[in-house]
Amino acid sequence: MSKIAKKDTRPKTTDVTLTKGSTFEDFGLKRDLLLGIFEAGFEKPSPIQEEVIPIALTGRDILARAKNGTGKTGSFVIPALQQVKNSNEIQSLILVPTRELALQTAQVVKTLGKHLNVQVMVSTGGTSLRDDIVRLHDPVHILVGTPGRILDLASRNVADLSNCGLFIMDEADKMLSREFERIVDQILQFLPQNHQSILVSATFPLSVKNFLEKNLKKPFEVNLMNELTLKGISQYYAFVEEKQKLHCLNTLFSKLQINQAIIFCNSTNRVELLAKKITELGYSCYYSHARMPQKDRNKVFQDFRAGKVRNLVCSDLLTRGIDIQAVNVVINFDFPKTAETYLHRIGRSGRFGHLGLAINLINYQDRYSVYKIEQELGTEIKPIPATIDKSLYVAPNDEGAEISQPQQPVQKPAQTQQTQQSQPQQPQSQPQQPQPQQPQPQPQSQQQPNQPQFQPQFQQFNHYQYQQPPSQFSGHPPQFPNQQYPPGQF
Amino acid sequence: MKGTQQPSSRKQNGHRNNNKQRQDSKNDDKLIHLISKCVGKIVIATTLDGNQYKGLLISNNLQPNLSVILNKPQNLTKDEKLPDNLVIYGKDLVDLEVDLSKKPEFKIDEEITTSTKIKERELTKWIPDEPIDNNLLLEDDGSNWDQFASNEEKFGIKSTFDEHLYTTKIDKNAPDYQQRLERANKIAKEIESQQTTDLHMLEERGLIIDDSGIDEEDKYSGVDRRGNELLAALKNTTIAQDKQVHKNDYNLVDPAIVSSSKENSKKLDYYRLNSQSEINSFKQFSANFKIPHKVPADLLPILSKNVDKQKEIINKNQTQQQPKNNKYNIKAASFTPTFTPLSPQQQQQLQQQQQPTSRTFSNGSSSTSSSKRYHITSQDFFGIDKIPTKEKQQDKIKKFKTGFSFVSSGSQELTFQTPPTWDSTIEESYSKLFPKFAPIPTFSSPTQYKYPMAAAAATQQQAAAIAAAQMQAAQVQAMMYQQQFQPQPYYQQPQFYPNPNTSFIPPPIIPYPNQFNPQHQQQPPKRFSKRNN
Repeated sequence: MSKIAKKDTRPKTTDVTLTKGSTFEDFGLKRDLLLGIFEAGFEKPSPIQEEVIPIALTGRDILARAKNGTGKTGSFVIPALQQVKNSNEIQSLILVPTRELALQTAQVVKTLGKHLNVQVMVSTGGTSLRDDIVRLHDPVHILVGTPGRILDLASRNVADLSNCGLFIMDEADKMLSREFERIVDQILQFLPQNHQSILVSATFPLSVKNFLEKNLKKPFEVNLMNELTLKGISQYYAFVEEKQKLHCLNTLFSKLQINQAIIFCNSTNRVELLAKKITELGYSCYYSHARMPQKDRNKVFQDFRAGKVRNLVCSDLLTRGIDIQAVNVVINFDFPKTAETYLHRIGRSGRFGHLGLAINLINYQDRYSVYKIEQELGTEIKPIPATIDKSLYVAPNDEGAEISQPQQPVQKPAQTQQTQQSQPQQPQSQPQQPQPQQPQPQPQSQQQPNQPQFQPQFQQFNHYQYQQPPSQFSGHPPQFPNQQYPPGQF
Repeated sequence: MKGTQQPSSRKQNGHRNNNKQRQDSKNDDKLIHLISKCVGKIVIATTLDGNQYKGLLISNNLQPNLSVILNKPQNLTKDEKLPDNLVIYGKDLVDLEVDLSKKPEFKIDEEITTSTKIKERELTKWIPDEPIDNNLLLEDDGSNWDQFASNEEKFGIKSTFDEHLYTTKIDKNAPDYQQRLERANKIAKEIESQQTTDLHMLEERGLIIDDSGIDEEDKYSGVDRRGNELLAALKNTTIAQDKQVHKNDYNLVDPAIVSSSKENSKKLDYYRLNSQSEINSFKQFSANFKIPHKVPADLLPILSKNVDKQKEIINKNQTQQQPKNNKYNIKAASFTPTFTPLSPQQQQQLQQQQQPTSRTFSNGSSSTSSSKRYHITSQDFFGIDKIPTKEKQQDKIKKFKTGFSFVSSGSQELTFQTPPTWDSTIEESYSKLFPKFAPIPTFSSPTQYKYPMAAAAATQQQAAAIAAAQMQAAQVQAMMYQQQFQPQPYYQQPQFYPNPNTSFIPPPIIPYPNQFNPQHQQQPPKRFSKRNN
């Protein structure tokens, strides 16, 4: 873990590369913090980090907007860590809308501040309140949490925020929406008068002017966005009937080269049903939504991030902020209602300027939502072509890894046959079958059904260091020997 | 050219820098400062070949000559396909203009979207490769499914979670651990026993709540726009219309959910409950609502053609005039409140108010079964002469918008107060009395002086005096512009008003050259320029 992360060689878009050329050394950060930053695999600051970090270090209030997955978390975590003093008070408070995002953010703080001896604590609902109170007995420097729990702790003076000089809100537009606004207002009462605020988000569908005027002092505004959607993501729709959706999804699974995929549904019930169906189709799949016990949610979150499972079906609980570098395909099994949800959902792929795919299954009733969201985002969603060019969502070196996919020859004839049958008029629409160019390594997993299909090489996964996906990991579908459905069926 | 200018004046009048000054490092520093302040602004760059490019300044390099990179460039002089980022080298760059006039407000999503409107179009149907497998349906077979067990059995995935990756360790070996635990228990109990109605607070305290009707998009990702319609109506000139209602509907019922099997009923229930509570509140309102006066006889035929009904109305009105009994109106007896019952005092208050001010919201567990629609005409509701029409509402909104705004009401045309020596006594808007900087007087004045200025300008002397005055006015105006003030119209200058002690001299009218016309006058752009030798 202590060695420097492997260089990420995947292509990146200008969303993250178009910087002024500054480096982390330029910001005058503590040596131990710099060490943590480089060990995490950060090379150069992204555009948003370049803008925010120096201003944040001067103590000024900041309102910043940057696209999904372009390094917003880093832009506020690094100043927070830099400002940590050697005392036993809570010095930074980071508020986020969901528990999973709180976990993720706290992990970033821990990773970057590894050498700083900083105490980072997460406090959200769904975990033991008693444990959190006991934890706060010991020094905590940076507190990450959801507003409800933080307010409960602060109002009982369990969490003493009177010396917390830095107040950070991630997903600020959501935090200032109706559900959270009043709670946030109350939390602010416990902070010192002259605290510094940093607000970031990728979307601001409504003006947050009122909050700014009330709570921020001459905020420095960062908004270098001149479009809303990420450059690296190709968006398609498949116009289907409701009852065709699962069939369509199955076809996508068999045709696309999925690294890891997140599939969004609009109701918790559908989330569970779909996850079950996907597992029955022979693909490993977890699901997550807010009505599950938190311990299950945590397990799903950690394992999916570690790359143990290929697919995740979820509700909008995980729409915002969740950062999984290996996800290259997002599927909207149900189309969302609002533009910001759509934007955040598709932003789960194409992290840090990488390439990704967003596919929307839409039915007749969804069509106006589609137009509306297209208009709000100023982007046109194209119909799904018979073949999606792999260069749009698979990094070149991933493709190379595919060659050594163990069970490819087993399925190849069947699939080709099937494609020819079904689409005789479109011969070019055959899914690009990787040619077995070298003798296949003896696929052990074929004989051992219970062995993990994805080697948990990501277990030690420091989340920022993107590692080459293990060979079994790329290429889709995974060929499971105990498949319930013969390959010919899809 | 103007290298000797002070920085302050340079900021106002534009800045030119030639090679001589560039050798001066002090000036260089200022240029660096200015240019770096302009990063992120829209600039217009002129190149040696005479092309002008407009774009977002994203980067610059001062050595050896000022080179810039423009994002999303646009050629102003001719149509040209340009790359996403245009690099203009120092040797080609002649002039760089930056408009520093106004700091734009933090843009919301809608304002960032600039691309052309996306039209509603025919969507291309997805054609399945093979006949649809009827087994592939998203239907609930009712069985419980454990994702962890299933994935472990099929794919050998063992689920794990280690909270220490994320949070601090609890020191269980601390000498006072037991005490800490007790204290924590006590505080936790206190917190959990607190009352709240906030959904998020309840969720975070782990209390099970009935949140049917709020899906996870509303809770965790979407930003609720409801309630902003009024604000939007006040902000924009157009009033909130069908479109927003439409939007609202989307917030409530999502097509994908409607088509799903299980959630379906729940959603519709929520919808029904919502409308039920609305009906209830209307019902309550109409039951308690009384016109404080006797119903005029001539109004009866309008209210109802049925004679029996007319009587009923009169009766109702009369009973209402009687002293109140301390009970809810008999008519409302069929209505059982579904919300938490009011305390007797509150009930009394409610009755004294005659009109319920609070709407009864169903709390989700409502079991009111009254499905009968309670018809209430708009006449009953608003009173006979107060029925809102679209025109009236629009008018009201207009008044509402302008009426309270000090600034906007000031911009309304107010009648011009004529000085006492003015011949005409007809009060007219000043804009009719004065030409608006128009070179040719096009107004028709009711006074005998149809073209009073023409006569005035006849003599040379007067013309000179007028020219001087005009110059003065222009200068004042130009100064005003630089200070970002609204220009003061020349006719508000004191010298244009006749001295009340002397006889009337009509104000002069001089054809104003265009550059003094505020309509056409642009704020002088700030200029940074660089000359090559």
